[in-house]
Amino acid sequence: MSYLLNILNECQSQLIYNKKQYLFFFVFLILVYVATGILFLTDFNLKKNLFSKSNDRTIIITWGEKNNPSMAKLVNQFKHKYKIKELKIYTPNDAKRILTQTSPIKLQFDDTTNPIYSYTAVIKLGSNRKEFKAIIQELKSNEKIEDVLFDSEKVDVWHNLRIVYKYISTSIFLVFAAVLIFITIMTFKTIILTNERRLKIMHIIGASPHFIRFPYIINSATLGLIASFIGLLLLKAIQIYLKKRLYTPPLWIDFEFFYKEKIIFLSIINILLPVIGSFWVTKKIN
Amino acid sequence: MEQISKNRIMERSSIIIVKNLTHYFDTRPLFKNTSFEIEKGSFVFLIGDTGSGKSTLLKILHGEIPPTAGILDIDGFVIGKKKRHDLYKLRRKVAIIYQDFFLIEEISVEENIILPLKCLGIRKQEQKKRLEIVLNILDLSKIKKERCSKLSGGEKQRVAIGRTIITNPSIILADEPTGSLDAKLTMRLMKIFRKLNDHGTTIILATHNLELPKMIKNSQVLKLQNHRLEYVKHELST
Repeated sequence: MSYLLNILNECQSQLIYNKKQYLFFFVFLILVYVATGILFLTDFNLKKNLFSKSNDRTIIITWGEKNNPSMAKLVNQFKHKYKIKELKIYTPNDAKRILTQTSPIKLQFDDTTNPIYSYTAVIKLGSNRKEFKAIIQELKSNEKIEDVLFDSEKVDVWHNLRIVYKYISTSIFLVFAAVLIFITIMTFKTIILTNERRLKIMHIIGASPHFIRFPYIINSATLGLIASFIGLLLLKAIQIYLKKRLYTPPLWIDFEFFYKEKIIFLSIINILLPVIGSFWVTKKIN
Repeated sequence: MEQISKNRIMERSSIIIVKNLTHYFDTRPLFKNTSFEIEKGSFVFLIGDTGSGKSTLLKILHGEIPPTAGILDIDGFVIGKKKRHDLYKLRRKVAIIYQDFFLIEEISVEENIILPLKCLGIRKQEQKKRLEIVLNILDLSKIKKERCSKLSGGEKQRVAIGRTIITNPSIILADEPTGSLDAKLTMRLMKIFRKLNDHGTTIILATHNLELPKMIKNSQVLKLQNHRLEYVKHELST
């Protein structure tokens, strides 16, 4: 226990002793987090809006003031058959906005029980084009559905775009990961170089390799953790700002950075990569 | 290669056993097939001309420089057989004082002295207790909060000694510790070393000052000559 306390004490001494390098590293970690958050997660956001996966497929049904049980039944059948996760019901005005933005498919439902209302459904493009086309086919063959507005060309373009986005997002992530590793290594190499005398003294007085290395690794992990937290707050602030600016006609762009699993993944990476970098660099201390 | 057993060390009460030590500095030989033993609790002066290899020998004994050949058993730690990352175990038993002190200039006297205890994981209370004792012995209490960069040569030397003795090592290696001190401070320092030796610490002190061995009763003198180390007669001791 006292050994651990002494290591933590050494962590603190190191932070004070190398404050300039650590400060630079800390600011960099925050910037990387925010930049990756905006680029990486915005891309996920686009993906979610435009090309949701089959288990996230959404059908949006609109109708007038009154509820329509027969339509709800029909949509529910689709929901179960194609494992549609979410069924959203909008008012006609909201539906119009969503229809024009998020989907290449428009469906006109013919309600035989109440011909006053027409119904519109939006199906988000699934990752499986074959399955998607099967849904279209089935919808078209349903006698209750008056029309399926389906732009095949658009579907193909968006499908290709999805692949491009996949590569872009992976590339963005890999570039940031590489930069993060590079900066971590350079920072800790600089710290070790400026601490050469101190390190030699530590060796002379009988410090174990763990006692010498752990403060660097603990500091990198701690800074990564705090940087992720601050980065998260900054992302939230940016999101609020962008929402106010962009979630207005004619853009209606809905910015959402906070997909739980992605944020956790990004935070873990922001902590883990500096740890790996510092671990690797300090391995060479002898 | 001859194996050195712990039992043998116990029998002879030798804390350092060096067998067939050979060491080259580039192509220049410093030691050639030299062997010697140092008894536990002894005070040994290592003398020799400048460049004869006194500092190198101390560094070899401290595990900083691996010898070209030979076996060194230092308080049970066999140099050359264990991996380099195990050397800290040796350095917890064998402390060294350098001529240029090797202090962390940016931190205070007490922080410098206490540093080895932190590495050992000693509790804070115990650290404070030991620190007070060392500060009193070396008369450093008044300047304990001072940064080491502000200290004089003599004060730095005492801080370096304080850092060495605070862990109570079984062997102290000192490389020309009186090199930058005046006569008065030299006397004081030798008195400290004598006290430590009285408490059972083995001390090996490299010096070119032939007057120093006269200050320590029953001390031994190891002379580095012709690439070999030999005990010389006791006439230097009083």
